[in-house]
Amino acid sequence: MSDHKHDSGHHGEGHHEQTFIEKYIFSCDHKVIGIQYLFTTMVMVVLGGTFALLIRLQLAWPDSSLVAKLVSTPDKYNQYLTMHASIMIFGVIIPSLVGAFGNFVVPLMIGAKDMAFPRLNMLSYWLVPPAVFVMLLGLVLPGGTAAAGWTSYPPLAGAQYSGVGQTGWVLAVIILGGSSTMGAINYLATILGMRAPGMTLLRMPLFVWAIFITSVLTLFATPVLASALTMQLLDRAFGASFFVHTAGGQPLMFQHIFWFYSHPAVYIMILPAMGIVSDVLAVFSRKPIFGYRAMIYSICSIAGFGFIVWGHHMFTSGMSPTLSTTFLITTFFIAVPSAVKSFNWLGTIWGGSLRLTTAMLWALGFVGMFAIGGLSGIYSAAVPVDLYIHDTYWIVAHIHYVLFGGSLMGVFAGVYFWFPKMFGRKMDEKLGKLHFWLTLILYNFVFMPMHILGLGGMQRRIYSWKIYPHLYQLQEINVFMTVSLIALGTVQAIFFWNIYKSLKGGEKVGNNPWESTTLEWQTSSPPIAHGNFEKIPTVYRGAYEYNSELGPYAPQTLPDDKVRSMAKA
Amino acid sequence: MKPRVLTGLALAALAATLTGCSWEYLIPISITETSDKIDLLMWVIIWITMIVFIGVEVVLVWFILKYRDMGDGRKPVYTHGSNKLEAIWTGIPVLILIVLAVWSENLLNAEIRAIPEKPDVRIKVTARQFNWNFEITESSGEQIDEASRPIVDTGMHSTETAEPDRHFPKEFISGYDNLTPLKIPVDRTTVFEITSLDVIHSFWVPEFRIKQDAMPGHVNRIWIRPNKTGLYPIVCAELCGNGHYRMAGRLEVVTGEEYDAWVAEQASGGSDELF
Ligand code: HEM
Ligand SMILES: [Cu+2]
Ligand SMILES: [Cu+2]
Repeated sequence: MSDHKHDSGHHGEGHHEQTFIEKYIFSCDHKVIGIQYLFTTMVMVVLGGTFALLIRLQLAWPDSSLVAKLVSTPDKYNQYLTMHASIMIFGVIIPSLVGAFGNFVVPLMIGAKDMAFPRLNMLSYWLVPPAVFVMLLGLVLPGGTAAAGWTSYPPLAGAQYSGVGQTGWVLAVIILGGSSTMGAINYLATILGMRAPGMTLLRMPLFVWAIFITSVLTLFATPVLASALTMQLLDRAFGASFFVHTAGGQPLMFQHIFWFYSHPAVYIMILPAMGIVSDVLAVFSRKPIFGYRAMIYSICSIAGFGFIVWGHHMFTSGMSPTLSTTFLITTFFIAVPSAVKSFNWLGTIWGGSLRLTTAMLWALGFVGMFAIGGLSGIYSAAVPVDLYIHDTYWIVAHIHYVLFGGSLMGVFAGVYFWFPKMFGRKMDEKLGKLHFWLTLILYNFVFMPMHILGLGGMQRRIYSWKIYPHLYQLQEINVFMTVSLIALGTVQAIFFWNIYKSLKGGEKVGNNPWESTTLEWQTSSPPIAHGNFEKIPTVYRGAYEYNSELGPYAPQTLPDDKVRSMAKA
Repeated sequence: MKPRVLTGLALAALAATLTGCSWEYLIPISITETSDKIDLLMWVIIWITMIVFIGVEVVLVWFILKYRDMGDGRKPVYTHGSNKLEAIWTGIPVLILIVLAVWSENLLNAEIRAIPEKPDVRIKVTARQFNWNFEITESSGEQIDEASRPIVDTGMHSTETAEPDRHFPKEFISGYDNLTPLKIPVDRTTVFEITSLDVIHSFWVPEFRIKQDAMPGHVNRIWIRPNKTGLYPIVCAELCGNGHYRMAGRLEVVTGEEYDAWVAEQASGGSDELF
């Protein structure tokens, strides 16, 4: 990736012809793999968004004949909603946060030459495209693809009620889980074993902490998902009966095993974004992060609690009262660390000198929107209330405030923040800000009304609400949301245009355009292909020394006296 | 009552300005004492979360405006945090959440889980793709023998029926109106024993607030004691296949006398009530 001599638009494939495949396709370089993940997820997000659009068109105009051409049957609708959620979760959020930024940034941030197992890393990436292909393949098969929702509960997802598309889905998710698990091992080995001299655990930037703990979650939770899916596969393909009640199996057991993974997984989907946001807020507030240790304790307690709250997805399933009381208590408590983190973010910007770059705007947007998703979680923790809002649009609102307003905004912050490090050029700030504001507003237009639909009694995953007279009053809201979604989708073109334009002709930058202290900014942009650093740096202090008595900012790699003389110059 | 109305108005005004629509209700009416209590808990949570929400957003915007870099060379505060503040903003949420947790748990135990041993009416609910079957097994506290049990079946949309054509919904509205309602008496306790013959469904009358999954191979119980007569929708809340969206039923809460008469009539063989 050091090949950036050419200034303008000619395609430079000519001069690295023999190595192109090695360099950009089957590369073992964590930076290339990170960028591969990033571009893959950009394709996926368009795909997932298209499915979302189909769902919403149907909900806004359930008896338009135009929409009928696109969403011809209820079964198609269920397929689209299953694909939407599966692609967004397994193909966008996890691979962008963990795959793209984890890969590109973590080794740089800790001063490592690469990941601990570069080949394994390449394999992790290369499992993703075939898995997604297998998942989508069902769309063109006669029986269609999976249609039982991303949660894929048997018996609906069992052999009797679903087709070969469901088998494809199960295989795909097992493969993706394998990819995540390999990634987790790689991050753990890298973070624990390859830190530069002086980089103690308590000097690591919060993004590294986030990936560290996320990897612990992944390592413990994902194999459990694999076991649930393997049992489902055995039921489907080989006549086993783990979840087949007519043959002595237990459908409810699937839910327990599934959520034992999937609750930790929701934190796999948010912790890295929280890490990005913490780092971006500190850099652009020109202040140390507020409560660094409290942040770490929060991350760790989220991880701990994350394993004992899974049953809160099953309050209506009829599990034993003792169990549901346990999950009620733990679920209330898991809200605390998220609250603590939010307050510490406010503490970080307090008294700062905020540079409102595009990356900073996304990070601030995250703080504002994640708060909504966190607060709506409380409603579900209160079991009597959850008995009402479970399986309604309220939950859909909750998911999207944490995953779009949270995780995806974190991804956007990360893209605008690290783009200069990836490509040696900045993204266009004007376009970036336009993209941010339009997205922020339209996003709320699409998802805020979902709270009202949920309270109004609209179930989730329904093809048409026209059956029920009590849902008619929600028609205008549904139309409003769909129109907003079309606008929201269109606005994303600004982002893709910005990427394209900035790749070709964005403002060139030096090593450290944001005047940041962390290690990735203390090497060239982009970092050299082999080894990242000319010489493995030594780390002298924590990650957030801004405006201390040493000077405006103290790169982790410079000893005190050098920082002082840098400040004078 | 007052805070409810206020928040309701605020939310409804927000929604109405957003959509320009006419607004009937924010939440379907509540028809049992239990659901009143659930609503109260919900409104308290709405108030708490609204205050926190507004607080966080106001502080966020205020800090952004106040501390943005205006190029005047103001030096940012250098601090790594404050243990006192951490204790405060950990402690206060913990206290609030403990209150909510205890309240939720008490409400569960005192009401929702307190299924009466001897209810006035016992109804077996059997879900299947994509309809509901209701069989009254006990009435006025007495077992009804199998042959004369009233049965209501929303059998118009079994799997065998061809997929409705696109414009089905409109006709379905009349279909919905023609569904035979299940009748239960007001001011008496009814226990629903819910199960499924195929996949997982979820039995839900929004006016009860409570929903309960119908699990194949299991019987889950809920109980209610309605205090308002009227006609209410029964919906399936758990994705159960391509007809999930149209797995509808109707519930009619009637006076005790009307109910008794209905049961007697059903028992004497008025079974062509099946739609
Ligand atoms: C503030 C703490 C949080 C609490 C107390 C909380 C609580 C809950 C509860 C109880 C449910 C189940 C609701 C139901 O289906 O009835 C739920 C659903 C969900 N939550 Fe959270 N949550 C919190 C934060 C998060 C975060 C940070 C994420 C992800 C980034 C998240 C993602 C989800 C998703 C994806 C679902 C829906 C799963 C599905 O049914 O498809 N939540 N949450
Ligand atoms: Cu959860
Ligand atoms: Cu159903």
